[in-house]
Amino acid sequence: MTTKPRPDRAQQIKLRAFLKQYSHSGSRLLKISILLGTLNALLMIASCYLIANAVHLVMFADKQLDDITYLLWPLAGLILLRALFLALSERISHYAAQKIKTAMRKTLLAKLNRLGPIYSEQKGHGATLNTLHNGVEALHQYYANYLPSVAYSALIPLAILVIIFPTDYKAGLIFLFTAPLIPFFMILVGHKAEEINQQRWQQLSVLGNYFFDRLNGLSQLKLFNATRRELNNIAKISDDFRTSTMSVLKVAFLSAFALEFFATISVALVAVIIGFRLFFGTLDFATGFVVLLLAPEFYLPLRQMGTHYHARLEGISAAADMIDIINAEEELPAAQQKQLTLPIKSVCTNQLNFCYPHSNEGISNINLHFPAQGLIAFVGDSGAGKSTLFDCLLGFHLQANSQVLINNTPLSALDCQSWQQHIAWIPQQPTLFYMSVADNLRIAKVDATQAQLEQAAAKAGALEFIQALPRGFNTLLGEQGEGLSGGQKQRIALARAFLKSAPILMLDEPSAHLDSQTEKLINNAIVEYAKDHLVMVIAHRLNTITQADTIYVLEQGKIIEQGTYQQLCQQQGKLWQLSIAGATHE
Amino acid sequence: MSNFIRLLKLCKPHAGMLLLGAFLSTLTVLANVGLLAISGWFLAAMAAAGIASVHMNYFTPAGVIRFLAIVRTASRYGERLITHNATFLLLSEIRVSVFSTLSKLSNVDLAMSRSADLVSRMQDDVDALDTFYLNVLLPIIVALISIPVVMLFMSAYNPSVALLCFTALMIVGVLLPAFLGHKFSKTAAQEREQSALLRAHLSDSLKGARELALYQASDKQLIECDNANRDYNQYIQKRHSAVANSDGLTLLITQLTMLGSIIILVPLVRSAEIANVELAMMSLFVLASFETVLTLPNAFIQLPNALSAAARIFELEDKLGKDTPAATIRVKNQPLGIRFTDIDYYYHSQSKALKEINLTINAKQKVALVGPSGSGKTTLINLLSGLWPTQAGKIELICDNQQINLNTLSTDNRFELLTIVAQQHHIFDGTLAQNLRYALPAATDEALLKACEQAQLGPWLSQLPEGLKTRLGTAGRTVSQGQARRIAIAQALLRDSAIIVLDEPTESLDNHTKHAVIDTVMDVMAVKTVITITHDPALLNKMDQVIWLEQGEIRAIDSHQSLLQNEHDYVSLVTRF
Repeated sequence: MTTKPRPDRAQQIKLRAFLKQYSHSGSRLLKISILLGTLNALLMIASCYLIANAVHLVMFADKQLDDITYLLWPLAGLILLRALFLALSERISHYAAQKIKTAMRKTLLAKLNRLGPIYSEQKGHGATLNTLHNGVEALHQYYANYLPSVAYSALIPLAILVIIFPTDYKAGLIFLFTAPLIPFFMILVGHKAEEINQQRWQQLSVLGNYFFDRLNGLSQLKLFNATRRELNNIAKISDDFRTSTMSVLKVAFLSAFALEFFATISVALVAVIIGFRLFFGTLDFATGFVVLLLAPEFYLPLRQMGTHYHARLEGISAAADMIDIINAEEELPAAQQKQLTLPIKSVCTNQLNFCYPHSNEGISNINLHFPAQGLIAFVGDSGAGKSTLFDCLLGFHLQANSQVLINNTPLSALDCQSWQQHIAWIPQQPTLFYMSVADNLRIAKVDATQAQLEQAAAKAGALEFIQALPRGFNTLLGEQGEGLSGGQKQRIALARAFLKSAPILMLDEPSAHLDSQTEKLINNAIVEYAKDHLVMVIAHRLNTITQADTIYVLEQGKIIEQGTYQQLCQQQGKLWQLSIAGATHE
Repeated sequence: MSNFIRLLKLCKPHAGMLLLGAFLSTLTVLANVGLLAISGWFLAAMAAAGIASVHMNYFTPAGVIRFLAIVRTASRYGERLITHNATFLLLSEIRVSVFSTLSKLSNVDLAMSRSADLVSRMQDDVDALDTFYLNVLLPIIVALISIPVVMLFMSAYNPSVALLCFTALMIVGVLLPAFLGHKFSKTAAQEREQSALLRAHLSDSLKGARELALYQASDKQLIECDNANRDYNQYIQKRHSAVANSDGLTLLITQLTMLGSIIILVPLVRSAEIANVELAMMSLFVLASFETVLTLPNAFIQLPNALSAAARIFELEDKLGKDTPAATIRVKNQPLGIRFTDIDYYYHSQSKALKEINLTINAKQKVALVGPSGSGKTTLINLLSGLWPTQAGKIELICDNQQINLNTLSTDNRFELLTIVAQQHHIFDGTLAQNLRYALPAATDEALLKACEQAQLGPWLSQLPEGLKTRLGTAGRTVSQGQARRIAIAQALLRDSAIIVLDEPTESLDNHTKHAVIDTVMDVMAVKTVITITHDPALLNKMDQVIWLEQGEIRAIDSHQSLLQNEHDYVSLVTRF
């Protein structure tokens, strides 16, 4: 359920063009489906002729059952074919929708990949995930039901007209006479049905949101002892919504009422006019009966299209989010062929500046020179620019790439991947993918042997608990997988980084309070690794900082202090303030 | 079946409206069937009269046709209005019932009834029940009334056609959809699973984008997503194929029934057992009679879904025990101490969250709970709040040397004495004032403004053009974590209870705000018993006592200063950069 406003008419035209443009993977199938559906309609017309003639012969030409079997057998055949065509047509249209959805999801994911992690972080993972999952699913009904129904609403009435004219032009004229009602219906359906649908669904979703919001905050309502009051609120708001919605619907349904009225009256009119022509003998019964049988079918496709209007709106609304992603500007770096030459002797930044668009946050004038090994700690308040600095070093901020130098070559002149593949990185909340522990580790090294996995896990202090899991290294992780504690997740991520055995390890230490044993374990593993690799860490813990070779203190995007723990404590600067805040009175 | 009856009982208060909707619905269907059948008869009769050159009263049938056309359209309009009204009425009924059940259940019952997120499941279930009347109940009632009526008329003309038609109706309207419904209720679970799996993979690709990029595993993850997408699509396709097959079969049966009825009737016309004009009427009548079951397939397909949703909701309702015995004691809102005696708590038989906690907090004392995550701090608070029932040991309030077991108090009394600001603070969809008034419904605007001021929300509030009327939450303005924290503190300040529990009150506040908040809290709450969960040295410094938990046990109780001097582990625990 969504409460975001529906796109207006101008946007809808753009969005429908977008949906058409991205339907190529299934458009041929959709055409086949529509062809089959139209064939079904043609056979329906034929079978009406057969029925009418059979009934006519029995009623007015004194024929017996044996005399009309030549009509009934083909009729049975037609019925069978129709059933077949209908089932096939539906299957194919759904299959086409699947193909289009798959292609769309692929396109979106590929585009998001090219846009890099920062794009979806800024838009919010939740919103992007919804577009990728529910949004794409919302296209299903649009392609499978709505689009074919539009085609049928034009094709089937036309087919009926074309066939009926040669048989009896007067009957044809009756249809043609009522045909101008169709555009009228179209407009009614187009404008009014859309309004009804919009209002109905929006009201429902507002109501739904209110209810589920309160359900989400139920614990809090209990703590405030407010559940009984809220119960009254829910009843009252539901009732208010009912009253207001009903007053809207009373009017809105009038348009549907008009449509129904015209369709019904038209059919009744056709029946009465034909009745009189039959009475005066200007029409034979078979033809009259055909017209009567076809009259409802003439208007049916239009009425059916109305029932798919919700699918149309859902599809179009979902498309609005997709078009945003697909049209987002990519800042593609000029393809660089130059590979980084190993070993990495120096990593430094030269006048590194980066500022986020539409905000003042960023980093400025950072000049750093990192040794080939050792433990480097970064400290600062949240928002001081630590993560931004890391993103720049990792090559995620393309504008900053020319100010990051590896072996004296700017990152912008290198194939970025050839730099990134020498870095292992652990964020505060590492992602454990929805796969086994072993596969999660193998992300870092595809061809790692079991022995290597165990070795890396042992180094990270993770081997013992992994082996204690119900299925050991084959235990499935992720949202629905085994529940691991924060410390255990951290250690698996550490094992993953160690498995890569990259010359550089960058990690954002978890600020959560892990138990002291786990903290020591992780700390020792990192210090050990730093002996012959470069380890850069956004540090939150005292132990990490006391053991660091160099500490950089950041404030408002600038480096304000650097040195070892002892040196900085003697300076009695920012770090000293931060570390003694716990130890003394203010 | 029993769930179906329980659902019907839920509908009972609005039975009149529901039945009126069903009546109008039936009227629409019958008028439509009548319209087609009489049109057929009219045409045939007119043709016959024309050929025989006899006079015919064509005013009556033509009038009937017009009349039925109008009845059909009018009743359709009425039906739409009434059924929608009834749906809304029922929707409100269901939500109120679900909410009241959930609010009476303890959080443990809620959490343990299902591993997956209860609220999102509840959302699907309530959504499924929202359309129970419109999609399930209404078509069934309509079919139950209109099929006998149609059959009665049809059998008056010819019983064997009626029998044939009835059989076909049952196949198309009941057997086929019941089969589909049964099948789908089995595959629906798998489909949901696949959908969740796809979501998990997609979520991984977004959340883990950096890691994937650095490990050069993005392409591999794309393949994972593609595979999950394919598996999910296969399940959807299976469902759509089954529906397509059933649609084809329905068309086949409907048309063949008409063909069959022609074959039955033709010899009778020849032997003059029925009038020839009736052949045209009957063939259209048979065709039109399928209108009575037009919406029935969908009803039977949705029935298992609605029933299982109802079953889950009723299952929760059944967990509601007898009402707790009426509280015997009423404790006044006065300075209170708390005593925990021999508190144990297990999540499951193996993992003990709390072990033999013995603890006394004096009235007006300020204590802090510290410890690594998973050490039992939040569990202890959940037990104090009563959201989780105590398993072993007791919690007592101490006042005037009297000790009162917390369980003997009524919920109203308990929450009059106790204010808890949880770490996961929910900002409701509504105005700032509405959010604040959850804490104290009777609060005046002045009181709200004062609380905001005390909680350091003043500067933020003054720049909001709509002030207290600013809409927050899902459909409103998003608040930062720091603002949410301060809103929570403002709510706590509004409630004048003897005991206040604050879970990480200073988290995500900047240094200046933090100290201001701490000062007001200590000032305003000087006469209260305050428990804070915190690792913030600035706040710990102000506390009388620190209770240090580790692995569900009390590791130490002492002042902040002496712990700092004597325990190195404590220094690393509370020092964060």
